[in-house]
Amino acid sequence: MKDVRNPFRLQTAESIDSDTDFLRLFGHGVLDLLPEDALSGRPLFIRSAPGGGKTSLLKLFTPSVLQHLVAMKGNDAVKDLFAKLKGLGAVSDHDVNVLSVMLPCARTFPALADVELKAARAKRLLLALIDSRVILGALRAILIARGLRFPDDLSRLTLVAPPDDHIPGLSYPCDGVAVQRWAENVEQGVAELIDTLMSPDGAGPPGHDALLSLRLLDANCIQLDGKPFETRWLITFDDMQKLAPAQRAALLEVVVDQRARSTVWLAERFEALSTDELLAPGALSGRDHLVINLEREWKKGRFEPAVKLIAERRARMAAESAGANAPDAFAPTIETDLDAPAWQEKTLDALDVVRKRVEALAASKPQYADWVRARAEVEGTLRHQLIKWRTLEILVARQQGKKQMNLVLEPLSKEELDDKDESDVRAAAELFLSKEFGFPYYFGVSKLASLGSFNVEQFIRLAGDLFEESLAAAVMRRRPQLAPERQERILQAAYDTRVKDLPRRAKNGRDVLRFLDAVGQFCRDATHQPNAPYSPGVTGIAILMQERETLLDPTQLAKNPAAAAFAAMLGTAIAHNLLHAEVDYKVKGNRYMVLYLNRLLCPKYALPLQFGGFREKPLREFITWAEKGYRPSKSEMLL
Amino acid sequence: MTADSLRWRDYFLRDSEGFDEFWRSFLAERKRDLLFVLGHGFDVRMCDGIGRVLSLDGEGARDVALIAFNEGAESPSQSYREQRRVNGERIERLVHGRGKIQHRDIKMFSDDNRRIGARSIAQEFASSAEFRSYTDVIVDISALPRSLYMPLLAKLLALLDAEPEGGEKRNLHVVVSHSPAADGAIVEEGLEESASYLHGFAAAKLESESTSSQPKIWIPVLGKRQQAQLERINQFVAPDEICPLLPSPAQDPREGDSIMIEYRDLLFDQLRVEPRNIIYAAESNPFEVYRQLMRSILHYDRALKPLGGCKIALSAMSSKLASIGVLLAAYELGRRDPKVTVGVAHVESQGYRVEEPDAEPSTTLFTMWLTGECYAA
Repeated sequence: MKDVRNPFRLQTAESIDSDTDFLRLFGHGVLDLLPEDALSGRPLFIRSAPGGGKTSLLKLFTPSVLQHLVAMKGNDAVKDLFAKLKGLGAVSDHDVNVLSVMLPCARTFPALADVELKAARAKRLLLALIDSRVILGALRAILIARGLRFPDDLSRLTLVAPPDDHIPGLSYPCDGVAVQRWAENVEQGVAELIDTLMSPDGAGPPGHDALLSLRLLDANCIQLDGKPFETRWLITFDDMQKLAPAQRAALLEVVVDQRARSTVWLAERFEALSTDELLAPGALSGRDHLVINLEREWKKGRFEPAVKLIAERRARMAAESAGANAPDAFAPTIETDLDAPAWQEKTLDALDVVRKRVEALAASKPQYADWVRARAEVEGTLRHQLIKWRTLEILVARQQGKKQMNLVLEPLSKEELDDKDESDVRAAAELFLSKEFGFPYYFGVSKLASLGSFNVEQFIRLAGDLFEESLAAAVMRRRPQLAPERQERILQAAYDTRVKDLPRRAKNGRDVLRFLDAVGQFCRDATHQPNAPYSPGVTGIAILMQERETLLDPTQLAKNPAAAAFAAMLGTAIAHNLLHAEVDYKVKGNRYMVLYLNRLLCPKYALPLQFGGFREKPLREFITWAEKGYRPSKSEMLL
Repeated sequence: MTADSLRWRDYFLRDSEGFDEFWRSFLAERKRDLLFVLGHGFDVRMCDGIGRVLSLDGEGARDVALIAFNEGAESPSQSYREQRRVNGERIERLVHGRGKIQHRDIKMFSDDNRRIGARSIAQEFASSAEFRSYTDVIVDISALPRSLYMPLLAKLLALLDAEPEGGEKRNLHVVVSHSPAADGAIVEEGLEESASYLHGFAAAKLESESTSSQPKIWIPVLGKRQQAQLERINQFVAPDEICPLLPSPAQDPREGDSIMIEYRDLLFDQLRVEPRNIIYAAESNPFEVYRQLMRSILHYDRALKPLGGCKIALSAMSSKLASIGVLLAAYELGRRDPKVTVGVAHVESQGYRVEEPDAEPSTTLFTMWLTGECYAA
């Protein structure tokens, strides 16, 4: 591998060219998201936003990577990974137990859909092409697993007749060379059909009625040196969303109907406005398949430790290639302390302002006397005291809002203050302080992980931006630690480089940007109220699931062009991971689709990074925002 | 295979005054029946070429195949409907009394909303019989998007190349009104999420699993403000080796440096391009671009042949002139014996937005003669 100055820049699995480096950089946290029976034979759908780590996960199971892993199992860098894969049954101490064939769906299949063929013929050709690639991939996998060379050792493989099926163009028994030639011919026939500038009528190979390759693998029809080669097979389809709808439906139908012993994984982008529709009536039932949504799984407290591990691995690789000056760990380069002497003066000034403000308010309202007294007794760092006072200010504002309902203003006790002083209010206080006094808010490894928005690629990009600066400091023989305010500036700039350019980068990008801006402004207004009513803040919106149905229904969309444009815009925003969708969220007796802003947008609108705070609105109001931008309603202005 | 055997080793290219001189004498030679193939777009340069050629008189038909392509109701290009209408009226006036206008509508999207413009335009001209009544076909690419004019020209070349030997040679010319400033002010908006190989060149063959062990070489012909396209094409092609082609010499002598600075992070930090892989070709000579591409591709093909060969992906991310060089190289290599697998990777966009140019754009007319009489043995 060529020297890598900043390994955080190697964002995708495809950009890491050696299996050893892939394993050294792989963060095994994603394996915790897989069900225990992931290799049991039931089709498994793996869904996430782009950059969620699907392709890396599939690549991990490819034969050469697993083979390298078994060889490196004693190495500290892969010990944990090896243990987890052993737990899943993918490897044993001395061998690879599962052989996978990985098929990227973006290759050739979509182009085949563009050739004007009759539906039945198109389906048969699709299956023939998949079969040829699976069989060829299986031959290659066996040779790799046995340390043999592809294609030089193909003659050691034999394909014997499967019990029931005949594969057009193959006669049994035949050796690996003949099978390779057959696969080449099928691919070439399809390629000529797609690539020809002339009419494709009548051209192309004969098609298949089923996935014959799976039956062949299930029946152990491949022999090595005359002996049946027995293994567990895993066929992985990546980027399923790239298939034409008819192709996707055909593939799902065949995979489920055949009930193969070989396991099939289907990785696809989660599209909240279409995915479940394709799985609806008549397609698949819950018993037939497993589904994991990576973002949903990451949310269960698993994301931060997983990405911290990824960051440390990349930093270590930088130190190995850049030499003694480069930092060899990531976390120590990220300062997290606002109690440092540099911040004392600013903190003291802010404390003075906030304390005087609260005391002035309480002076005329004796019911707060105990609360103020309790705060004056708080010990700890200046920053701790400052946050406590700001928290009290929020609680007083809340109490003031309630007072009109209480005719008798009894003194409020210290115990009541302790009850109300919860972490979400403190988090809001911290956010408000940063906005009012200019303290950094978006800094530290935990906030960096939150800004990753449960997306591994986004985290790596952001961490790479920070690490780039540490590397530069190291080259100039300065301390590589990044101060909180510098971290914040770099992370805020990420919005400019990744989101501002959206009109160019995405379909309906201008509309998406306008809508995101409207949502951002709305969330800011809802968050930054004196009484922090939705502490720590609002970072999302929601529509009723019934209204979501409107956005999915072609008949209704045809009648309502504004809703159609909104659906297209929303689809792009979700596809580009700018809105994080949670469908079927139950609250107050209703079911909602919640759309959270990608955390990358939070710094722009001074929003907290926690999930959970959202406001529901009728669809028509969101459509107005999309068309005209956000205008606060009277009730919101009075909040 | 040597440079001597290149199809367009000797080429025909004229610009500025040379454009007028050539067309004046060419049309004066004898009666010539011309078919202009034009895109009906919003670009103000749409009618520059045909206007100039028609002003130079000459006898014979002066027909137009006017290609309409609707990029969808949400395309940013829809903001320039008025300019498109003006262009339509201008072409009507120009051709009035001198020839006929055939309107050709290109279906840009399939029923399930997939982009099929490249395939549609290639099918639009089904056989060379359509050109039998013409001596010359002139394709003006000034107002056509790359995803349409590249497959269109490939198809026309293929049709004319397939004409029987010994018959009358029909001529195929390409005309473009070139202006780096105006091109720079037209910005693609709403890029497709992923790249694809353009129809008309190797596509499926490049993605073949049975030849996946062959290394893939990617040669992007670089222009400015193409970061997103570069990233997407790189992700799609997944190349083993990258050889960026930079414009040099260029109107702005620092053009190549500016491009390198713009893509420094992507090319060198992320993709780890070897600086020695950089290729240079003259900005305003498509045949020079073609020649440099051919030289590099044939070199790779020769060097890697003993190891099973290689596959080549080209990308035109610069001016329309340079993209003709890409087209010629991809077309020729795909038809040589033995063939070299060459595709053209490209990212489609939803439409265009026109910005205020930095400087008053000056345009230059170029004409390229791709096949016909002048290449007859």
